[in-house]
Amino acid sequence: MNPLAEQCLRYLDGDLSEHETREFTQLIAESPEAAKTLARYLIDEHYFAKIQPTKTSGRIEAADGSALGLAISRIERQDETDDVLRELLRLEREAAVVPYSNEHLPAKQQSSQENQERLTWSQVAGATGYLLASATKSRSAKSLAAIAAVVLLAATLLVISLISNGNDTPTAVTHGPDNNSDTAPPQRTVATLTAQHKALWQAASGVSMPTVGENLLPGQRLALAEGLAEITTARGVKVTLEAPCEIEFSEDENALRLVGGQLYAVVPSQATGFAVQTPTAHIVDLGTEFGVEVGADMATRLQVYTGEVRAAPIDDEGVVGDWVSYYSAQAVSINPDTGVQEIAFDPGRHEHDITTVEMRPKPEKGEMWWRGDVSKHKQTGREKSGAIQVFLERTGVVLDEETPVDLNWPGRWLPGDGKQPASVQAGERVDVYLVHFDPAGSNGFDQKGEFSIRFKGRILGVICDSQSLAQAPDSLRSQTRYPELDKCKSGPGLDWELGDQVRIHRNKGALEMKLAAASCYDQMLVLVESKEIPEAINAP
Amino acid sequence: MPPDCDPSSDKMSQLALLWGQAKPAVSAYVRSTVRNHHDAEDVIQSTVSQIAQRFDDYDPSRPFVAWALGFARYKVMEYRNKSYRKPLLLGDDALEALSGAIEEESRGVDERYHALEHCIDRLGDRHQVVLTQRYRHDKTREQIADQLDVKVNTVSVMLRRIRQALAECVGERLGGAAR
Repeated sequence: MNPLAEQCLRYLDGDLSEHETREFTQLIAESPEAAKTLARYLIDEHYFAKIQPTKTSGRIEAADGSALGLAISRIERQDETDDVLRELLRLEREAAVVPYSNEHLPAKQQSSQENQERLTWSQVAGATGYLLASATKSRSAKSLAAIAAVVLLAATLLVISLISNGNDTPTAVTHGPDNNSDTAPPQRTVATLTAQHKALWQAASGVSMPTVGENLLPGQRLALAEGLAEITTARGVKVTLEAPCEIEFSEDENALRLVGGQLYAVVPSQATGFAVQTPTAHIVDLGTEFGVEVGADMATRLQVYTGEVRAAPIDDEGVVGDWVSYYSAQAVSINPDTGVQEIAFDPGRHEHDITTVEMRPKPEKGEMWWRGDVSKHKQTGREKSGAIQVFLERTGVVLDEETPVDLNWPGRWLPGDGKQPASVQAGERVDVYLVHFDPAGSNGFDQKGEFSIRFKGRILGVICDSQSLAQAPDSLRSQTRYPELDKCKSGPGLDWELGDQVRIHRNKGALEMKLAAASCYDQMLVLVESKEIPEAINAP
Repeated sequence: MPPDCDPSSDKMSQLALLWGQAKPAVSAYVRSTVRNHHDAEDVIQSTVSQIAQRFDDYDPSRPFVAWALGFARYKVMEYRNKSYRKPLLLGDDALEALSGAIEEESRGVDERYHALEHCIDRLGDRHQVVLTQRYRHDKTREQIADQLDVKVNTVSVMLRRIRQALAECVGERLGGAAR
């Protein structure tokens, strides 16, 4: 490494000795080149905090796939212990643990499924070899414990395998509400209903109608007929259900069965290995956020938002197919008729935040419609006094020509990165809202917030780019006068450099956004389907 | 959208615009001496507050960055006098030289920002994560080392190499020697 660069960076890291610091100080004072080099590194540091790498997904690659032809030497090996533990979890799931009632399958399928879900000799031998090899590659003390765990697990799996291969009677354990066991099901809590939004629970035989805060038990079935509900499992997995949806809890607190409908799961590290079983697939999380949907045709649609998920199809005979890993922004359809197919990732497909803003009584035009304290939502930054405001600007505007917008459903707006031209059709009647995010009075410090705002009508489009806002038709523009409008150098639109993002949820009534504001606020116009009488017709 | 009628709003808009341009330089200068992230943020905030109070005195014919760095110098000195945490790092002569260098380098910060952004995107995922953890999430080298289960020194070396590589990449993109 360049000695001057090395000195500058060691100084910034606080790694210079007293003597070296004195020498370095003298160098900076006397050498303009040294001062410039240090200045550049300091300016870079300022920007490192601003730049969000576009491809960082939170998953650290085992191998360095750097495209930068630089002399960055190989970094020490990725934590192999983690690999081993993850593999253990995967094997646990893929092997014998099928804790659900399989009463929904024909008898032939039940038997077949149970047999298939036991490990074969070759699977055990292969897995054991892989685990031991992985564990012994790692040199840390943690790995020794992992090796011991691997050996123990391998022995257990061998015993299970021996028993199952030597006995024609299926031995896989099944649990569930209809299990004919004499033993009463354990009454321990496996999850809690933590929130709901306009939820209507189906009253039917065998299903519960829970209330918020209610503890949920193994074998309990829930059927959500309308709205949204959030369930938090005993291990901290947040599962958002979107109606219509039916789930069933199992004995395993880290698993559930999705009978129909869709859910979105955010899995914390302590719950890695969280499993979802659908009629046509097994899904195992390896530290991630993902959405699962079971359609009327029983096909499973899996979408991975972050991290890694493994999934295997279950065919008509109940035979479990190959396990495949899926990563961020991947989506797959697992269909008993057509097999496993990669499909387009749809970022707005799953509802995953039910912290929403209810519609307030409709104000007069130009009045504030809603004001929210950012601190009630997720926020980072130094000050907690910020707010997002929503103003109703126009009502019943009929568009007499196709109107360009920056975003319509579906999609996530990422300027300069795949932004697609979008528009709202002529003839649509819209109400126009202005979203104004200025959490700290634009004091120059980054303020960030995540919000979900639910409008009563369908969202037809969002204008959120500074240029688009400036060029928006007069009939859509703000009627409200806002302070300090001219302080934004590049306009009040969203700033992708600060990581602003916005998307319209699939039901088109909710707008989700992640906003950051520093020396300039963020604004956007939201065009919502209007039920008002038209107030004006656009001038050509 | 119509501008506000408040007569002071023009002045404030001008300040906001100028501060947006000067912030990287002020931040760089403050961080040259105040290495604790939160302390640095406090000093920067205190600097901008002082700038806002004295903005009426600003002569638009002078470079704003240099004017703003004057306040930063004062605030850094104030911090050093109050701080019990660390002995003085750079001496006054060095800080003076650095201030001049930062002012000069800040003239091309927009280009540097975009070049840096491009170069960071070309890093491998692993390096991006380490960089992000350190500077965006303000994790210590010890925390990153713990996360990766490697030695702290490995993280230090990794970060230095990443930064040196980025500096070279930026230099190439900006068409100069390794910057």
